[in-house]
Amino acid sequence: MRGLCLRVFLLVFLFSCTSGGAKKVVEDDFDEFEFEFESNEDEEEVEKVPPKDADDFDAEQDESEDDDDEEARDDSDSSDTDDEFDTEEFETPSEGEDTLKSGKEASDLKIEESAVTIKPFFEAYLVEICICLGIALYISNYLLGRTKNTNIAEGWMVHNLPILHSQFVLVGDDGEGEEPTQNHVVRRSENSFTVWASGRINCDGLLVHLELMKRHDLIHVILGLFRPVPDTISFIFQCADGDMDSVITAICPRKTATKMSKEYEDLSKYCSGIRSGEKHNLPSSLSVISETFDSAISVLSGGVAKFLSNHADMLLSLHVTDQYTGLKEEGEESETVTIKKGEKRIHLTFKLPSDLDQTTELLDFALKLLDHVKHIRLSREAKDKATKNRQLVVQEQEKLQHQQRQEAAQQRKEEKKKAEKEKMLEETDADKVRKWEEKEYKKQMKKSQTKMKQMKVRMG
Amino acid sequence: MSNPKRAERAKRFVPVSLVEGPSYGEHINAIGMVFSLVGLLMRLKWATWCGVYCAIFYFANVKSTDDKKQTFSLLMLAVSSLVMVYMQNPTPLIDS
Repeated sequence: MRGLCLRVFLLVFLFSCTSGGAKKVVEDDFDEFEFEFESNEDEEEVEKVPPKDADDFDAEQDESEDDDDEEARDDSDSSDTDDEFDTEEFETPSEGEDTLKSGKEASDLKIEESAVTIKPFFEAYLVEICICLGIALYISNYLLGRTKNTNIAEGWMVHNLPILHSQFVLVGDDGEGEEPTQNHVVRRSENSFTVWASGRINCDGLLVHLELMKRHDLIHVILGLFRPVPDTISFIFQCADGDMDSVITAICPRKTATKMSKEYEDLSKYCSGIRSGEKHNLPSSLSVISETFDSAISVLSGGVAKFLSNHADMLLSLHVTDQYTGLKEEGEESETVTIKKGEKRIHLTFKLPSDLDQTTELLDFALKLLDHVKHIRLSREAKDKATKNRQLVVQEQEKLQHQQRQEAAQQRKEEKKKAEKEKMLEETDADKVRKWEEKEYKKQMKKSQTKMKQMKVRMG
Repeated sequence: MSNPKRAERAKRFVPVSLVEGPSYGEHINAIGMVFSLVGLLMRLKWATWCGVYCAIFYFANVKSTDDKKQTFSLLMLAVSSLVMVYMQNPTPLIDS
């Protein structure tokens, strides 16, 4: 809270600096003009009476200039007229100036020292200074936010490390080096941290993902004042084949249910509808998406529904699936269809409590759910339906793949034919071209004959 | 409950793609490069400053999997274009 106040104060300070600076600059500009007007008036008073001798000299000079110009025009072989103009134009006034200086009145001229108006450095470069202040503010916020996020991640690790060590053989490996490391939090970015744990019954591994607020980014901090984004924690269990039955069930807040059912590929393919949580002894703020009613009941039994009811405000999603293929890809239809093998996963996402002591409760629940899912056995009907659904999806994918392969082959064939035709058009040897044309004609004839035969057979 | 640990099931960590919020890193990188280049070529001071801001924003939001060379090159480009523009014309931003 104190950090937030400090940031707001700094922002207000920066804003006031910018607006105040802009006003000052405008005022100073006008001051400068006033000063110039005053000095010009003084100068005009001094230079009111021009010397007579100088006028006479100017008239004579003009006449001589005209004569010179005519001569220059007559001379067709003159190398460069611009040079002549330059010398005459710039030399003549200097001679006139000499005569002025020689005049007696020249000595009477009072040359006043004009005040050179140079703005002070801070006034002139006020905008730059404000920009640099903005950068300094951003960098200081970056360092503060980064430290705070790191402290949260490490704090979580310290609180949950005893549980992880009691459940897993390998905790905190970063995947680098030949020997596995221990108790290491992997930093994905300044607000994203992961902890890997492996070596437990019923799963291949647990990936804990902490996605925190972007405290290091001043823009996101300001946006967060209007639209707060919570810190989240995800427990992702990667399971093996024997660890889970054919279950696809998701539980999430009602607001995000539609989005989730559309975004995840497995939910959009296998699950038909969204049910209210009330049907499964859950609060009405939660929704249930599942392949079969039976699978949802199985997942929510054994104290799971009770825990979720108590922590409904913290739950962001619970996703148990044996066909996890990730999010739906955009523009998937245009790209090649590849048959993805679904992974068995349990994915839990909660809002991270501000009191890190409460986080141990979430980890305990996640581990209990893992053991609970292992013991789920679907009824025969539900199992048959699930198997049938999976077969249908695989068949559809195979069909699409076959279609795409055929289209690609057809395209290749056409391209080859086109290239051959172009090559023959460029060919100079007439015999070769004639032979190719005959060959093509024969091919066409053969095709038409087979068609005719087919027609006859049908008619007969 | 019996000991749930199983040493034979222990696996090394392999980075996986996770579902995360929207990231504008690539766009900011491209915009920053455009600003820096435009500022350098057209001698526009405000554009070079925008380039510097984009570079800093990109640096703050970079992921560990992203190319570090790209981040460094963007920062260098932004700063060098700013220096070049002010060396050619050291007048303040409001006067130019």
